[in-house]
Amino acid sequence: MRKASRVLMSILAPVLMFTLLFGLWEFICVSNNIPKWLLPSPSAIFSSMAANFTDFFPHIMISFGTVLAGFLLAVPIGIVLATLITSSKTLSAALSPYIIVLVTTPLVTLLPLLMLFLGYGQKVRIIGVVIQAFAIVNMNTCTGILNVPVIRQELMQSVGATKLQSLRHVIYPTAALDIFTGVRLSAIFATTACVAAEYVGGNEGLGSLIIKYAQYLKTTESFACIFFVTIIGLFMYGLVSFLQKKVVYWRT
Amino acid sequence: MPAPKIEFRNVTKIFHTRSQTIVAVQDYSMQVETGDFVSIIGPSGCGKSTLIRMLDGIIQPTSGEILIDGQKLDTSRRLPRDILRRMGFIFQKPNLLPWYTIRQNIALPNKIMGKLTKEDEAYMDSLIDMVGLTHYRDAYPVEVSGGALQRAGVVRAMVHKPEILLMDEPFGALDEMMREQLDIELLDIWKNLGITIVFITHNVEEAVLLSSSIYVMGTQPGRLLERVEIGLPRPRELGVITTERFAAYERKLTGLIGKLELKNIK
Amino acid sequence: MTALRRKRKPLQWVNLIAPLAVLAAIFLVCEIIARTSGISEYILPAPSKIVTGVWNKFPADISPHFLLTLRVTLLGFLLATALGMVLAALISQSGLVTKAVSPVIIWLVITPLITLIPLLTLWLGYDPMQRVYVVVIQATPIITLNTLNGFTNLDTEKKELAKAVGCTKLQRFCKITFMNAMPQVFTGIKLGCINATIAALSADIVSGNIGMGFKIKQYIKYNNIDLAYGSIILVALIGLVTYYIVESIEHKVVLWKN
Repeated sequence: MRKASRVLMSILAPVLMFTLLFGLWEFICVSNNIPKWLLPSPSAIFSSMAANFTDFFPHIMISFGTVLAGFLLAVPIGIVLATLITSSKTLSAALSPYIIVLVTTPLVTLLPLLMLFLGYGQKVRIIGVVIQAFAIVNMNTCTGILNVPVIRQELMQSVGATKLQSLRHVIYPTAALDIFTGVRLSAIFATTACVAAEYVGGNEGLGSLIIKYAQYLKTTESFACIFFVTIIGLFMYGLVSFLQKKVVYWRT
Repeated sequence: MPAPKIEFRNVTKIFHTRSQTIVAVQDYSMQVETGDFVSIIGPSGCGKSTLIRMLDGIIQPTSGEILIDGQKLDTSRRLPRDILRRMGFIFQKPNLLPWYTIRQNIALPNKIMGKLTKEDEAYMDSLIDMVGLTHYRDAYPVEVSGGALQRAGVVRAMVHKPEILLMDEPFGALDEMMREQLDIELLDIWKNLGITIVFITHNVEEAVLLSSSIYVMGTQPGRLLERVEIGLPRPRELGVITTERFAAYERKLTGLIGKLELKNIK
Repeated sequence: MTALRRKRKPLQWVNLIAPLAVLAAIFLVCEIIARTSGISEYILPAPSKIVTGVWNKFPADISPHFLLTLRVTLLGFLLATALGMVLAALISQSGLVTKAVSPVIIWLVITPLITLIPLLTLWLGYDPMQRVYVVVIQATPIITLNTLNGFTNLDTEKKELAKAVGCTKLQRFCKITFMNAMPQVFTGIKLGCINATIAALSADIVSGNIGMGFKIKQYIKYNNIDLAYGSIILVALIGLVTYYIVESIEHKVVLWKN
């Protein structure tokens, strides 16, 4: 009974919180007669999301495609690179500062250059997303692999496991939680990177729509696009949580 | 005369850390006959764990030779599977993998070293039954108590029918009663399977109870000080602990190790 | 979101020499390719040219932009760190508030708040320093999220210790909860640092005619590719140096991690 009410509370509290938040926002907009171009009310934003959905839809799909493709490429690249880097002490010493460089350098600085070489298409933006998103997976995977307890490695040695066997049976499962931390962050960075890439160039995707509408003082439409970006972010977050539950089925 | 099962010839292991050079094992020699039960005992840091890790190819010796059945091991690189197959390693902690069930954990060495045949599975299940893990077969390690986990660790090292068991303070983390019980079970297994066991411990009573001979090691540098033959009759029951002969062995060994500890303090 | 910790290693020569060797190798290979292969210097300018170009142009041409971006990044990052931690401290005081607000914070973390840049320009005008707000809103939520995780993950043993020694609420928070959360706090701060540079540069690119983001775009427009590369490296240095400063503070503060 107590447990049930606690579960109910942990669902109810955030729902109430969001209702309160949007209610307050709505109230401020309506009661102060705030002009739409300055700050649209949530109800106006939601109705714009519905009314203009057919206009938004191709851009939503382009942004979503960029995020998803970039993310799906970034995760395996990050994990494989981390596996290679950690296989040698010298290699990991030599390259780990550069991984941090990649993590800390905002890719938006590279995009204008990439676009000069490769044009303004979706491919360039996907490359940008991959660059921003793989580094954090790589870094967290390295951490996870380097923290595998010695006795587990010794167990693998004592039964004559090959490198691949110890990766599969011991190293990846041990590092799984760290890897998923990186994967979750990379999903977030992928969304951010996609918007940033759409800011830099091209005239498709939600990022470029947000700028365009803002320039024409169509703030409501701008916000509608921002909310669609949120939905993409939510989807990515849900996807990673779902995968983590499926993959990391054990307790420690 | 057949060659000894295991032989160490003047084995030395030196570790280099950033600030110092540590002689973990110095000029160690030992012969273990087939079917023997020997213990290596000594204070922490005397290199006893390093010894069996060198035998199992986990650590490479700096110099000296290690032989199994009179055959020299190529210790310059990782040991080939057909040699590793002849040994089973039991760790101080159960060291089971939390993502596999008890049975999957126990099956792992066979799975890694080749195929898991029907015959292997039957043998594995008979071992599981023997140590009383039948009910825990499909449980995950997190759901199982410490003693049962360590039993699973022991069984895992035996599923591929090794000729030699290397045990690194296997019951050191358990409470006294559980330890004694597992010691007796181990003696049963040893008698039934006729394998050779090298047992690392810092517990004098355990060493005397189990072994035919005990190698006493000292620290800094880690080296062999003395070999003590234990002439107690087999099979041994737990009751042997209360006999005067047992107490005499215990006193002798405690004296040897006690001297060591005193020297270290000085 | 609690990892991002790196294994602590003693400072060995290999950790210093090996990366420098890689740097030298990259420099040399690029230099040789640029000079001998006939690849256009609009794609791969010789590294030596990048260095001398930036060296010559920095005082007059680059420095105002560099200093602005640096100031925006650092100021925004520091404000976000303070704000993020204070928010987390306040929220964590009540279990109910934590439950209610956590999803909102996750929502803010997964929505790239750089989407608001065009609107912020609309609201606040083109003053370059308004970009500090962009940095703050992009970097704060992730710091709050990680710090809050740290604050709420106090194990029972430590709670009992606090009770046993008779801590006041404030003492318990400062001496136990806060110190216990340090590793997660620093993870949050490092992620905030990454978000801060992304936000500052995105703001540079979207709005205005000053800042490194703008400068890089301009150099590319006028085909000064070597200077564009140089500017990118300068921006990378801002992120890298900030990150290493945070990490070295972490090593000083979180002594018990090794």
